[in-house]
Amino acid sequence: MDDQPAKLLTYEAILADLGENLIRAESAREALEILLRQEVAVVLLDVCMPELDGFELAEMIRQHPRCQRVSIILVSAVLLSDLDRLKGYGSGAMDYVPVPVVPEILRAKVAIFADLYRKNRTLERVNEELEARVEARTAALAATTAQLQESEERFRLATAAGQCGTWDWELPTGRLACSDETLRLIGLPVAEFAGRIDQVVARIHPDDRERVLARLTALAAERQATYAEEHRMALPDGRVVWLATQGRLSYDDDGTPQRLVGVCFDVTERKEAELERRRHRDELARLVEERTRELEESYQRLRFSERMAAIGTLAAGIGHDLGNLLLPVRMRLDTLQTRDLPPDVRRDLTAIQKATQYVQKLTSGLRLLALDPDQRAASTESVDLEEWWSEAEPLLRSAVPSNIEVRARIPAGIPPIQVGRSAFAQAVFNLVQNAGDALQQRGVGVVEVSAEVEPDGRVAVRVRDDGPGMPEEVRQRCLEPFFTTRSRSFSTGLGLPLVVSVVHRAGGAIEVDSAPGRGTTFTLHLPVAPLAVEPERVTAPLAVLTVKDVRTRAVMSSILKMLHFQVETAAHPPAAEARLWITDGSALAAEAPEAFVGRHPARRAVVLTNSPGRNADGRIVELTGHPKPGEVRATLTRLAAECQRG
Amino acid sequence: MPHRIRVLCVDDNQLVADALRRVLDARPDMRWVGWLPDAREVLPAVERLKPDVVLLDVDMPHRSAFDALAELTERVPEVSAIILSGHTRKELVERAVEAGAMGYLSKNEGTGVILDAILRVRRGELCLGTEADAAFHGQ
Repeated sequence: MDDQPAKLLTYEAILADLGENLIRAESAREALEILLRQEVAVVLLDVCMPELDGFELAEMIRQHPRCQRVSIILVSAVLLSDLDRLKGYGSGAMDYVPVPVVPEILRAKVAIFADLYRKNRTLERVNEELEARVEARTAALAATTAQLQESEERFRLATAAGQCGTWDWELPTGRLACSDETLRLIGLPVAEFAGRIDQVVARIHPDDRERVLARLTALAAERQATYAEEHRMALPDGRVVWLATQGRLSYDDDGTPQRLVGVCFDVTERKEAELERRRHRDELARLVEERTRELEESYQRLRFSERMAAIGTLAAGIGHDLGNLLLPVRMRLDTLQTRDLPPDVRRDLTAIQKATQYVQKLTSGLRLLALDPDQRAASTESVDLEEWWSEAEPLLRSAVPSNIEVRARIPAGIPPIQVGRSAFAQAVFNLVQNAGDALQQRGVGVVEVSAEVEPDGRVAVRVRDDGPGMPEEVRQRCLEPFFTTRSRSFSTGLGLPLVVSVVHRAGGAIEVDSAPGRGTTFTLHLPVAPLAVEPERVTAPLAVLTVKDVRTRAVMSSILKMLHFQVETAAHPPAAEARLWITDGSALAAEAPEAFVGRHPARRAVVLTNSPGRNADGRIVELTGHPKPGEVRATLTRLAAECQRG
Repeated sequence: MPHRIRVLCVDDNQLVADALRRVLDARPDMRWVGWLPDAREVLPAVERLKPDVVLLDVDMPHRSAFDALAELTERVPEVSAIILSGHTRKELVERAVEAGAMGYLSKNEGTGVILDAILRVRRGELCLGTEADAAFHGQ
């Protein structure tokens, strides 16, 4: 800065070689404006200026904060005393250069100060940067610290609220630090906790302890860092809680586990809910399985009954036709039997008759297979097992080889069962025969017929053998028609289906229990016969029929005999001992039905008439027109009960 | 010479008829009078052949045995009819008895049972075979 432009030109010429940016100012004001506007490293300042001298300007520049690092070089041609120099330095100048200026020296000095400025600036920038970084770091740290504090607070709150405990286990020493919550979770009073891992291990449920420890060992062996486990803790008060523990395992350079730090939560509720859910699921699966099995079984039963019905119909048809064909054969054989025949022909005849009898039996069996629902309802016969056994025993013994024992276990007091006598005998005969066949190979054995009253009130009749038993596939199919394990010449495959048919007709059920080596048991579940209310009869009461029509008489007679009457046909009035009189009115002149019943309270009469209207008091019943067998039977059954009661 | 029971057979199976003829021919107290393969002409045949007993099959073509039975009962009540059938269901036996049959036998019965039935119905008895009896008297 110089108020003389010529001087400024001189300086520019001297300093141009430095390659620095040279700014000219011709007044103190201009100089100050430049300094405030731009960054300036060195000010070359003329001391002698008209408004403001160099000293004052230097001082002003120095005082301005923006210009503190500016190097001021004072230049003077006049004021060159030491005092002036001192004043110059005192005003903040770095150098004092006399005029005439030695160009090299000035150039050198400006270069040094410019360089100094640059270095200062760099240092300053680095410093600023450093400070900024420190500040940023500090701020970040502060933020992190705040976050950590917040997080710790949150964690503290969360752990307290979520029943979450923390722990820190030093593996080499076995020292353990636990939060109060951890100790609370495992039911260990703070006062009793001595900081030992074994105190916690002792609390692990005995059923889980081994697993948890093994897991830790495995984890350490693989140098895994993450530990997560769920196990039960057995608390001293008897409670069992589920803990979920999660931790991080750290190792030293040798791979020795050093520290396991983690948290634990009480997950009992979740675990129990899980277990409950699993129980529900298992229960559901079990139900589904059970239902499927039931469906499968009922399907099998349905299939079996369908097959039985279809085969039954077919078999009954074949049986019927076979029976039709056998009738003439048997009749001719019977005719031959009456003839005088040579012995060899008679032997042939006997053989043919035997074979025919076998076919006849088969035919009867086939016909029985037809599942006729009417037949079930028609079965009113009953069997007293004790009595039945005494009759059937010889027959049943004949069904098996003599070295096989047939015995019965029929306790007294078994109620009579509702089943046709002959059908039942045939069924048991078939079962015993089957058992005998099963035992035949071994030569000896026992077939036992037993009976017991079942909880549902039915009677179970069992035919059991201690034979070899049946494999499952045979057991499943053994009741099927035409299924046989024996050669066709011995077996028709109809024996057991016949048993099934008999049992089903009686409204019962059959069950087969058998396994190889365990023998076979057939169980027939049969209904108990309704209690018969037949009164004791000393002698059968007498019924007298005064009926001209032969068919009516025949039907009535047949029904009366079934009702245990002695039947007499008489054109005359009934004898004195008669209890029941059936008349078509042909003998009315001799005796009126009213007179007949009037002589004894247990006497009853039936009048067959086409003009009813008799004043009957219930002891005389009128049947009109041509009564159907069913009506006749119903009337006579009712009257029979009344007669026999009196 | 005692009266021989005259028997007419109505059965579509000629083997049965022929065999029956052989059986009856061997009996001194019975007499085969003829055979019809179905029940259509049963009344004229009865009027012409004058049987005491008619053995009647149930399963025959052209005409229902029950229908023929009812006609016989109505028109020639003195003739006894015996049903000879492979089926012995209750409703069949009842229907036959209601229509006037004096006997009902299963075709599984022995020859002796059939001959015995012929004698018994002539004595005015209702004669049911084992199976038919159980069906008729059962409830």
